[in-house]
Amino acid sequence: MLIVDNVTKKFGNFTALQDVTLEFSNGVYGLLAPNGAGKTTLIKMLTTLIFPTKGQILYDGVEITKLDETYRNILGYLPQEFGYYRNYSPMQFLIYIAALKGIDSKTAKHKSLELLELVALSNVKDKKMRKFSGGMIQRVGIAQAMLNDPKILILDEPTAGLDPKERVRFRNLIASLAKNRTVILSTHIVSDIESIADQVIMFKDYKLHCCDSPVALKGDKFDTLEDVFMHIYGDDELSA
Amino acid sequence: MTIIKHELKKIIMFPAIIGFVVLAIALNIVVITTMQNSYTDFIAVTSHTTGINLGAEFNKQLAELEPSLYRDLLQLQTENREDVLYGYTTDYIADIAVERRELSGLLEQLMRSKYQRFQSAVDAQQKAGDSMTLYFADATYWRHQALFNHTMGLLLFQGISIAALIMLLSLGYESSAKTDFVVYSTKVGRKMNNHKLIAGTIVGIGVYVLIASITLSIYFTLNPMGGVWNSSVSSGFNFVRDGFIVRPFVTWHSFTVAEYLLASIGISIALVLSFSLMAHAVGLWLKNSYVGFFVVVALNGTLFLLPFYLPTTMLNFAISQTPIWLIMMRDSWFTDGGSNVIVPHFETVGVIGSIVVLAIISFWSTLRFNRRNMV
Ligand SMILES: Nc1ncnc2c1ncn2[C@@H]1O[C@H](COP(=O)(O)OP(=O)(O)OP(=O)(O)O)[C@@H](O)[C@H]1O
Ligand SMILES: [Mg+2]
Repeated sequence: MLIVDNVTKKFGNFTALQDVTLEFSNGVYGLLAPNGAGKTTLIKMLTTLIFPTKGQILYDGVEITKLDETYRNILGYLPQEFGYYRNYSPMQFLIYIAALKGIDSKTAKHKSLELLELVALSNVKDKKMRKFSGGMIQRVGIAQAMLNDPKILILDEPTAGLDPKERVRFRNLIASLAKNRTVILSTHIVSDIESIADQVIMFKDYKLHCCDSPVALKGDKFDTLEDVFMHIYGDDELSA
Repeated sequence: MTIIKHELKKIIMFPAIIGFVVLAIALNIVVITTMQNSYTDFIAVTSHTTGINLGAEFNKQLAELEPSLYRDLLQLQTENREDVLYGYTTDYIADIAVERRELSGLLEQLMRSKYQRFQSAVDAQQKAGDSMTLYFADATYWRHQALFNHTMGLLLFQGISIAALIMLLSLGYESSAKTDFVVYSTKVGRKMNNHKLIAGTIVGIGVYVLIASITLSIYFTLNPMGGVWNSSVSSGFNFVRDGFIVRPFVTWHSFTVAEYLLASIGISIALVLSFSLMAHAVGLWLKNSYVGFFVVVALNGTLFLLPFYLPTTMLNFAISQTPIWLIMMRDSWFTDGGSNVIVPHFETVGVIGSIVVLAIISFWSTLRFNRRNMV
């Protein structure tokens, strides 16, 4: 169980998140909020890239920075801006990331092939990535995040820059990965998570606004999650 | 281990590194070809017959050789050679240093005690006959400088620049490829920089050894040493130019030319290592590799210039033990070092001290990096 306990993050005088408390168990969590709301800030704290100014993040009751590599070992992460080595093939890149994840080379090879199959990149597994489309790169990104079969899979705007068809395929892929793990994915596009999220987390004014299932959020008042979103954030801030 | 292997592979694939190595070797070949000399070639060959110890036996062997211009010249330079170290006292070097640097108190004491100790080194080598070895006779100074100052100097500057560049490119690799978030959130996490330190150091030293072996192989093919390898570097023919003063070149320990070369390569490798460490410390604070390289250059430029502006204090002498100063003083390694240094064995003290200090700074920078937000 992953717990965000009363966390505040400041950048200098600017407060990006304030007093956020959240609990994650197995299932898909959708971080749904407009640009600049603090989604990436929360995710970077969950991935130990940045540290809370106040409060703590616990995994099974222990602070994640104390757990150090034990915690990162169960983590899979696709950053908002996923970088890769342009001169590497997906296969080479996955083998490399697998080494960083402490996976022995035999398992790494086997696991990489399996994941490339899953994300439908087997036919280009030895081609250099420099000519890949955005969608292909995102799929490499998912594959590298899955290498260590993570208990916590964190995807920061995984569908950004994908065309509608790719986006649907991606959504299905994520849904298929959600079994027996915590999946946290951020987006400002409602349709990305409406059908797959068990819980939707929303931020407003740098604070946690609500966290509930899509059904509960809609209640009797709204027909779609989109309406909920519009109601909370107003028309002007709709998906950019 | 696998991570280090991956890092090694990434570094070796940098086009900048490969280009640098090729250019360095090409430059060295051009420089070396200007250093050839037929008289020293003659000495290299004849020294096999004559041996390298001057005296009656040497004269006899030389006289039996077929007469030639070079044989006659060598006879002229060696026949009635006096031992320059016989009765040679080194106090006056301390006097000059004290006057030149305006030393007093502890600093003066240290300087004088250095030369008191140096006197026994001089006496020991005089007794052992080091000063009465051949080296390259009257061409010694020029030949010694060509190898130990110019060629080794080129190798040093190439070695340290490339070692620093390699380390900085390696550390900056992830942020330039935007893979830093992925890399630092994996199991290895920020410890990645320790693997980069090891990989960068291995390649840095490896590249120095590569350039040095190729360059020196060519050097010794074009300028054979022959029997001179066994001559002492403290030969009476060798000297030091110290401002307007010319004095015998004497090392703390007896070194043959071959041993002196190996020892110098050892110090050079230690200096390359210290630049790897320095670049590692700098690279942990800066994302851009080329900015980092500029900072390393600026840092060393400052360290080099500082003693000229500072009063002569202990700090001033400490700065003369930093890597850049050791490089500038490369032609006096293993000697007394004149008025720039107050400790004996300054090059050894300097490199060990530098490596220890830089390792501490690099370790501290690592701790700071591990607690920093990745933005
Ligand atoms: N390193 C930083 N220094 C200063 N301010 C920052 C920093 N990182 C983020 N911020 C600010 O914190 C706020 C939240 O940023 P964050 O990137 O978390 O938003 P987001 O919800 O991920 O937005 P987007 O949808 O655009 O990715 C923004 O106003 C941003 O400008
Ligand atoms: Mg974001």
